[in-house]
Amino acid sequence: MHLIAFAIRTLPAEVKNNWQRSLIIILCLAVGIASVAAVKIYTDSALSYFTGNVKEFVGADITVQLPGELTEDQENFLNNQTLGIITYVENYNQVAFNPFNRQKNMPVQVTVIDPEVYPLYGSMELADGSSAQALLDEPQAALVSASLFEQLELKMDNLVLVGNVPYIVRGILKETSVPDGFMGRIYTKTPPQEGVGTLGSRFAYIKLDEGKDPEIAKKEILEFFEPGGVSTYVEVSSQISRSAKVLGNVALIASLASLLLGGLGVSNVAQVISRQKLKQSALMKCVGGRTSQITLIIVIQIAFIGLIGVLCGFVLGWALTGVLPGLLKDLVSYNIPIKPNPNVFLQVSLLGLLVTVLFSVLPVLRFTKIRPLAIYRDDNPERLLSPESKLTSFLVIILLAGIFGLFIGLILDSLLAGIIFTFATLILTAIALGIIKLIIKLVLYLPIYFSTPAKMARRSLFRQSGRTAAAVLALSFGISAIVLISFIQTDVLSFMHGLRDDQNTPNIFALLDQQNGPPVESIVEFMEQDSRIESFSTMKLLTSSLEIVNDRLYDPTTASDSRSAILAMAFLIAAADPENMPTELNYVEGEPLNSDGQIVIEEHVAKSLGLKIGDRLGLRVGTDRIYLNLVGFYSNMQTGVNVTSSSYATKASLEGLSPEFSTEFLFARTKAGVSGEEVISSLRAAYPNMGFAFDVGQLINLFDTVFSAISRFMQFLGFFALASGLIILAGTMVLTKWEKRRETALIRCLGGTTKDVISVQLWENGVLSILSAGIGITFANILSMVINRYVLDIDFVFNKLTNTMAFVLVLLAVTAVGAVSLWDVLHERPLSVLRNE
Amino acid sequence: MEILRTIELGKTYRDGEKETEVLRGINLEIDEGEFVAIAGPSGSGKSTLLGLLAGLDRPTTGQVFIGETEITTLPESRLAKIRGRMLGFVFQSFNLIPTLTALENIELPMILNKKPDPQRARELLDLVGLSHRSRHYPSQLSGGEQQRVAIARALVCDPPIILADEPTGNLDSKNSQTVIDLLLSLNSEKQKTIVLVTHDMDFAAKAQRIVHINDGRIS
Ligand SMILES: Nc1ncnc2c1ncn2[C@@H]1O[C@H](COP(=O)(O)OP(=O)(O)OP(=O)(O)O)[C@@H](O)[C@H]1O
Ligand SMILES: [Mg+2]
Repeated sequence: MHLIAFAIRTLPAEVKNNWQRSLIIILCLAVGIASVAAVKIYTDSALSYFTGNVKEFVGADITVQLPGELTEDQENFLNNQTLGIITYVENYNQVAFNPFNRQKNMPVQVTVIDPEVYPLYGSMELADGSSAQALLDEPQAALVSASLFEQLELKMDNLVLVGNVPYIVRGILKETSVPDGFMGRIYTKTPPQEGVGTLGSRFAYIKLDEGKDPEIAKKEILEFFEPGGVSTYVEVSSQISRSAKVLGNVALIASLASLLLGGLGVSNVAQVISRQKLKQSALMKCVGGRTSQITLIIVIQIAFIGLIGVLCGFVLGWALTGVLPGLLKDLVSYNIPIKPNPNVFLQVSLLGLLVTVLFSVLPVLRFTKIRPLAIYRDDNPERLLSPESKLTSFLVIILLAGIFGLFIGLILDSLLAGIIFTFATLILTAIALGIIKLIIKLVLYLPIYFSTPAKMARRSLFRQSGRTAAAVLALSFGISAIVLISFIQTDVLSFMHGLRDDQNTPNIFALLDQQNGPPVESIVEFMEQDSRIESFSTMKLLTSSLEIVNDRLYDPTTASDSRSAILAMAFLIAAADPENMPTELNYVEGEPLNSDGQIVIEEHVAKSLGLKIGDRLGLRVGTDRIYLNLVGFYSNMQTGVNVTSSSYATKASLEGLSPEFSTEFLFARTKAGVSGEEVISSLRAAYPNMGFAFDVGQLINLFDTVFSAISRFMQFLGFFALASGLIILAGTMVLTKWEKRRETALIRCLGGTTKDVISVQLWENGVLSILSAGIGITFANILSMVINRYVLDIDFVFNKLTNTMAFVLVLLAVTAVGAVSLWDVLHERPLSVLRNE
Repeated sequence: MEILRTIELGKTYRDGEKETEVLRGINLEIDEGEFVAIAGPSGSGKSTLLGLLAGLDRPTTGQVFIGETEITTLPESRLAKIRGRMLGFVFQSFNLIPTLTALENIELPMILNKKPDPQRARELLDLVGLSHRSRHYPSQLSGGEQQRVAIARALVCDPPIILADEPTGNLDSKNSQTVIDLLLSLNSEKQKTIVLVTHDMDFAAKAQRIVHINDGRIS
């Protein structure tokens, strides 16, 4: 206790004496903590926003999904219930048109509500902030989502058609929960025409009377309704919490990287500080101090300086949360109010303190183990350091990592995950540092250091190789994270765009509803006559269940996992023409489909069902059964999109089976330069009752925005690692400044010019930045190649532009740091330096 | 009653192949309350002997007793405790901690020995005549003042033994005199046992006994 008080009391003088070192500690932690705090504050605010307003989001205390037809009991229950206020909400999936230009259309979800009761919580708000309820009193009034309003070029107080029913646009909704641009939304009190379009779902929304417990109420409801369709706001809230936590944790782990790199910087400074205190430590031992006490004093002082860094970092992180909504706006369309709560502050501060302490204990301990006799050695007290005990260091590292792991585990809600994360990071960092040190040494042995400045730079780099390694690691980690993400993003997107633009891949998929929609023949005729279509085909898709394999009953319960059991019970077969397959299949085993009575199956599906080439399969379709011979496996993974079917057979093989088990699909490819959406719009304009249809291009655009948002966010975190690297580098330069000064003074005294001094620095910076950028970029390229090849299964393209830009970025940043640190060295008089030493 | 005792004490430094025998066969007994001066030419092993007496280093042969305790085999943590309780050090190069004020430098041993008492630190600063300098940092004090602070620091835990290694080595004659007078009064008024290493035969002469060391032996 007295020690702690003493350490704190003497801290100001310590900081004043070593303000540059203190500044490095503060910066290292501030950058690391800022990234953690930004993520943590944001995810926490989002979580409390969603869970805090869960009733407004759900719109009720309990929602009950209602079956198509209510039984008498169910109807009686709903009519006579005493739980609270009840209102019904119906969703229709429909297509909306601009009545004056039917080419302007898009799928919508029409939500039919009772405006007198709905919403049970909160109020419906319009984009302009006004309340919407009153507008809906009019029977044909509709509130539309912004995307619908824009895409259909609607006008306020003008008409919008849903199927064939006209509505009047009275307002634009404030926010929607459905991704915009893909499906519009309409709120109204009058249902669209029955029969056309599908009734998506129907719900009863219940607001419980004061004091009613949602769980008890749910039990009461479950006596009449299926459990899957009943959910309380408590359940929704915990569901949101769970998924938000998972996402938050992933982001948190990513953001931890720069904090840990900051820790490496702190450990550098701790080493320099305690090395400088060797004689003081020896003195303290002479007056009765023990190693642990001296270590404690130094570590506490570092921790307190660190605390300032943590506070700065927290504030910086808080400020940066202002940037996050911009980065993530394509993912999170809600305007989340940022409110850092004390709990987050406490967690983040503790984390920062823990990192400071963990990263400084070992380097400090190494020097406080000095023997007291060192008090007599003025020249070289380091000779009296007890030899480092490898075992003790190892045990201390394990212990410290364990503590850190437990803490991370607490934050992540899984102790095991925390421990595994920590030890994996530890091992990887150790390996990476080792390799980088080796590379630095290798580069320093290259025969390129001929001029005197080059030789001097080489010597100084040798001396600091340990500390420099941390800077190179952080820099290369940061740049490789940024570059890697950009590579993957470019490659994945260019693959997706290639798919979109590839003339052999269909870009229009449509489900042809044979009960309510236009007949298949009309659609075929339309496609044949439309000059924008390159090719098209229709395909019947059958839902069957796998019953017999080689004359023996197939028992789905013996399947390897539950997924296979479901696959077997809902086995999809597409009817195709072997001459004109809707999509090119990639055969990996056996033979292509070429005659009736044969079937080809997607490789992974077949494997998980345990099927082999040559098997004779018995499949049940309704009341019928068909037999097909398995002749080939194809792999869908090549194309990455599994929108077709898990198996194919010829049309003739599937003829005459129970029609209610089959669905008709349309696949089409537009001519180059024509978007799928255009054609779909025309189709809808011609056949307003057409079923579900979508354009691959649109899907890819949506994927683009979401994927880009995630990439931007990860790169944002990568920049923190890069910043950590620069700070560590600046730190290394400050810590070795007196050496630099001495060197500079020497060069000058020997008749060297400022130019010589600068060229030494240029050499040093050059080697360092080329190393960092080189290692980082090489690593990113290799990793990207591996990920593309083995995970994503797409081609790797060497990206000259990104690589060059990253290289130049690192080069400039390192040179800038070097220039700043050289500034005051250059402005000192050589003699005064030498005299001071 | 002797408070410090060595039996056949020897020290050999080994630096790779090279061996230097610095001390050999030292048998020394110092009584409680005695003022002993250790004199000898430079390099004769005086500091090495003092270091062995304080357990700062381990002897190659022989034993050292502080009171009843044989310290040569004790672990470092026990040694630290004994140093804190029994010994006070004064060095030639004052060895004050630059980031601590005069008062804090004096308090330091008490804090490390877990009995902080700011009042006592002030009293000692008063004793060495520096109460007006309590908030000064070492760099703001003269050499003589720094050495007086160091003496106050040596006394703060009230150890029975003071080991002073050329405490006047870096001081002018006036300051040297003050320091020696201070040590003498500590011996006569507070019955401290004092071991003073010095080159200056005038100062050595003021001790009750002079131990001459030559070539690592008592002569
Ligand atoms: N760690 C060591 N390794 C090798 N030799 C050492 C070591 N420490 C001291 N010596 C040698 O031991 C001898 C005695 O040194 P010591 O410091 O005890 O002398 P001293 O009598 O105190 O001299 P001075 O009056 O100059 O302080 C010297 O010759 C010195 O070179
Ligand atoms: Mg000496």
